[in-house]
Amino acid sequence: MRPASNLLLSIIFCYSSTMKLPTQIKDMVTGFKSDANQRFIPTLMALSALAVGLLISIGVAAIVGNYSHKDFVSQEYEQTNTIVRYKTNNMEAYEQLLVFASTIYYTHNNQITQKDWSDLYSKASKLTKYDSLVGIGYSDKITPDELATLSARLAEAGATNPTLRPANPSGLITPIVLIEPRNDDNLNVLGFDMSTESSRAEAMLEAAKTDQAVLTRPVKLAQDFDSRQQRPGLIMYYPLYTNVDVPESADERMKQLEGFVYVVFRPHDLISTALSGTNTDGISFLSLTDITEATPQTIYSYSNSHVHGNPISITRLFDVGTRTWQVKLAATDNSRFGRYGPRTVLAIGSFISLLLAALLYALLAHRLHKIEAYHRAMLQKSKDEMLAIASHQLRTPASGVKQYIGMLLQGFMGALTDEQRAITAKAYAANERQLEIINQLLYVAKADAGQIFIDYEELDINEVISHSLGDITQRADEKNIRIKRSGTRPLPAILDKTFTGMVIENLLTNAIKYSYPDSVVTIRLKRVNSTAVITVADKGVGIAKEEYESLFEKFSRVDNPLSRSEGGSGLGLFLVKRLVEAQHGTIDVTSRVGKGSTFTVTLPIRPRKKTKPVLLS
Amino acid sequence: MSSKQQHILVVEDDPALSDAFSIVLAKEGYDVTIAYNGKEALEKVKNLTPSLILLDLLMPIMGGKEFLQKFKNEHDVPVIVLSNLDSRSDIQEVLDLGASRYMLKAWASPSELVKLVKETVG
Repeated sequence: MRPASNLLLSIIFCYSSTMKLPTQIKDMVTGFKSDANQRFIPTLMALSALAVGLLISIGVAAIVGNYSHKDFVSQEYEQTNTIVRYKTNNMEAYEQLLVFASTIYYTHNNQITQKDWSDLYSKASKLTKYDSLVGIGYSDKITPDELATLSARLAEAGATNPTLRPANPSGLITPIVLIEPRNDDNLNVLGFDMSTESSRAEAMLEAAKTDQAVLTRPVKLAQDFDSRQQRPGLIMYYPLYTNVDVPESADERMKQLEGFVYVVFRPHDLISTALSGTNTDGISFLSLTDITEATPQTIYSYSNSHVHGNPISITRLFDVGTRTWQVKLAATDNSRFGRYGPRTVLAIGSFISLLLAALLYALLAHRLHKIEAYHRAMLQKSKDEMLAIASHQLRTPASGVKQYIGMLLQGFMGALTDEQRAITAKAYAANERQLEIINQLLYVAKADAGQIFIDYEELDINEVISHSLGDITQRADEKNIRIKRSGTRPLPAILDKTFTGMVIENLLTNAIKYSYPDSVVTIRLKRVNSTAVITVADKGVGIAKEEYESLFEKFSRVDNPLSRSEGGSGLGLFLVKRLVEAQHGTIDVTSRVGKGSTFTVTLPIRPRKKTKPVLLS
Repeated sequence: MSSKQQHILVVEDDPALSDAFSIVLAKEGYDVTIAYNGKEALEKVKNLTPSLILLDLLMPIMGGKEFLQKFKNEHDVPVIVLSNLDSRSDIQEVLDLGASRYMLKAWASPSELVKLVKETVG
């Protein structure tokens, strides 16, 4: 629709040679391109917003993640601290206990009775710092001649098996002679010569030589020999001498060695206690290793393969008496915040970004569309105005031509020869077509610009038909076409007189144009309920079915084999349809090629709603 | 008074048209004066009382409607409006302002014009 009026406009302007065609074509191309722009810019902006939003979300998530990570790491570090502290305190406590035990020995004339031991244990067991204690024991250094009385001594202490084990000792003989608590496991170990086991022997020797509490490397406890207990134990030995004033040299100390007091404990329990109250869910690995010697000895080990994520590993070294231990903790942040925090932030951020991007797209697209629509409307308006102005301006010279040729033709300048008259008549007819086309263009331009008002008034359709017939009789006579009329009763209605007249006149003109000479054109008027039905039928060239639809489009023209020079602007039926439909009527056509066409127009006798003028657009 | 003495004032801004009307009417025996706009027309009628005025509507300086308004207040000369404006409201307005007839320029051939003039003033 619009490109066609563009084209017409360009022709008009070429005619008046004021505008170049390429500019018009450029306008059309720009118009097409802007459709793509409408999609492109909002999409670009929305994607940019999305990208920025995502970047920000990622940034925030990373910060959150980092924060929770740092928090977690410090928390984990604190856990290792706890272990270390606990252990260290624990060691100190045990050392204290052993020192106290030794004072009992020294103050009781180098003797410790079962009662002494029981009392000691009962006091100690009440204190939480000794919670992991498996047992506290006294080991006496025996000389070979004291072996005989050993069994009795062991039996008195409650030994399950009151014999020296292993039976044939060599070197230092240090059986366990007292032990608390006196549970079955512990009573079993009475009589066990600890020097026969290398780890214990080493520790005992070290303790004796240095007069210090010395810790063994992890050992399998005597209590566990028969069981499948995998958890190692640790023993802390404290030396007892002949004299409370301990000699200086190691050799002398060895000479004066009388025995040991010792504590036995399982570090496993220790760690459980140490970590109780902290969050141990995310721990994937925890180990306590004695690394004093070349080969590390596992004191405690725990691993959990079900922990997800990348664990953070912390390794700490600390001294326990004469030994060096290593605690290694690997954990992942199992807290909800650590696991989901950054992800949640990212998800929420992405969602918000997406929403904002979508919103931005919608807003921009809407805005651009509005701007686009506005520009198009403006462009169309200016085109319509130019069309109207141009048509209007064309009218004046065309009217002038009509006057002068009319003067010649109508005899004002004297008689013409037949030939002159014929030629003048042709010129006059051509000029009439010019004026007709200009008229229609102006109507179309006005219609497009929404400037035509339907002016309802009371009229008699029959009278309107009579008037239109009056206007076209000349044309009909030229081709010797008879107009037959049926239904001549008055039909009052409320319609636009001018436009209804135009409609009827246009249909009649077409009927005449496309009719064979000496034929008949029929116009019929009848009333069906509240509708007026006007039929204009001719017996002319007819219209092919394929052309029905395009018939009422702008600038469509049916080929008229009768006379190609009879062609019109192609706007007639377009206008007719618009004018009919603006008055809420309908128009239809039936035709047979070579037999004729019948146009049927229906119009409501009175307007549906109010009789206010209706804008035709 | 015979038609041969009748004076017609043609008010039309387009020279081609005003000349055409002038030629045609002169051929029919009328005296013709041309004014190219409403203001000129008002000037002309001070010294001359025409039997008929042919009036265009769209003119520069002063258009037909304004002229009609001013003229009809003081004179009773028939006015035929010749214009290309074809809206009902324009036509009605012009008739209300005192025009006797309205003719669409684009459709008025010389003989039709003559017919109309003869009908109005004889």
